[in-house]
Amino acid sequence: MTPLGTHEPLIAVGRAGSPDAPHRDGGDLIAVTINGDVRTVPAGATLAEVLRALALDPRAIVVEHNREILRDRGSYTSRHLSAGDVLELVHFVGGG
Amino acid sequence: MTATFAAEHATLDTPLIISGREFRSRLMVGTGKYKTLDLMRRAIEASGAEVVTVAVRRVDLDRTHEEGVLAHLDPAQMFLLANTAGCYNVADAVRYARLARAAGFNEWVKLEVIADEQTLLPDPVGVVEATRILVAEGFQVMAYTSDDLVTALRLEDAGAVAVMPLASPIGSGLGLLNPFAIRTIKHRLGVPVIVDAGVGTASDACITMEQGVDGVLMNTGLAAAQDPVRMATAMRQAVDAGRLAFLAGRMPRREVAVPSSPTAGMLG
Repeated sequence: MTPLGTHEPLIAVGRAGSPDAPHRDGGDLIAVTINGDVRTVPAGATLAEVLRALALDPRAIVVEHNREILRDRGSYTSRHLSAGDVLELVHFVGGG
Repeated sequence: MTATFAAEHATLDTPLIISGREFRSRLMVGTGKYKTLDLMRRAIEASGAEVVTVAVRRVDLDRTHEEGVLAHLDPAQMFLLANTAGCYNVADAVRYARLARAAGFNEWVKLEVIADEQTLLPDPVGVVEATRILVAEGFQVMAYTSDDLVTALRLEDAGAVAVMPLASPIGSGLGLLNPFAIRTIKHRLGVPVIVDAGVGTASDACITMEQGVDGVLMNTGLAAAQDPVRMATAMRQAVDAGRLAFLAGRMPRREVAVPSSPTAGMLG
């Protein structure tokens, strides 16, 4: 697990100047765990924003948020992340 | 073309039907371990398989590893069957099955609960328990199991729509080690029996189908062949050959020779 603060700057969500940036410039960052690595995101970021920042196509993945599997991709825009949240982002890979 | 020869000729064979769904091929294939995803795509096409298995794993956020397999498969052209490979307990297998279903393709799962890392042999107790849980949640469960009859019967009781006994351990390529056990399972079960794992070459697939089972699933036998596309073609024909030979009904084995030309009419 990457220690908090030593990883690359994570997500562009909230970055000033980004066309998608919510108006949280200068706001607090929170630590969340994404696929086993601790990452920081702006406080109050939505799941949809995080996925976009990670350049992930929501249609190509499945999200588990704090052990809850999200079957409705439409809920991503209204689901806000809190400090300590755990996200698992999975997809299909080759297997037998 | 997705279909096997026999499946396309209604006078030769009846369709494979699992839980009311008709499948066009008795050969099912996995998507793991190919050298390239393009090779995988071509081998699957050559196999004529309709059911294609995939695994559920974390997205690699650094993009340094495997990309999603769906970038190379058209889900509209095949039936995606997610597995729970790599799960060593009931809770994990159920979690992976639920994640797979949330992908939105179908309610089916190839359920694996593995018990032993060296042999990858399944956990017979765990797979029955996980089957019960998933069936209650509306899943169509195809359950990977050993060639033990009693476990197979328990899986059918638990609501599995197909039971998938191994020919030999996953990735071993040892072929069908216990034809008697597989025949016994087939005789006793009402649900389809799909032999899964261990088929190494075309004769293995053919002999497996000759036992009368409903289908066969393979991955490494294709992916680890020197030429996966040729092997997929061979497997497709072997599954047909074995199926048709079973339906045809073989001649009895005799320990003595019986002439095939008339004994009468020989010159004096």
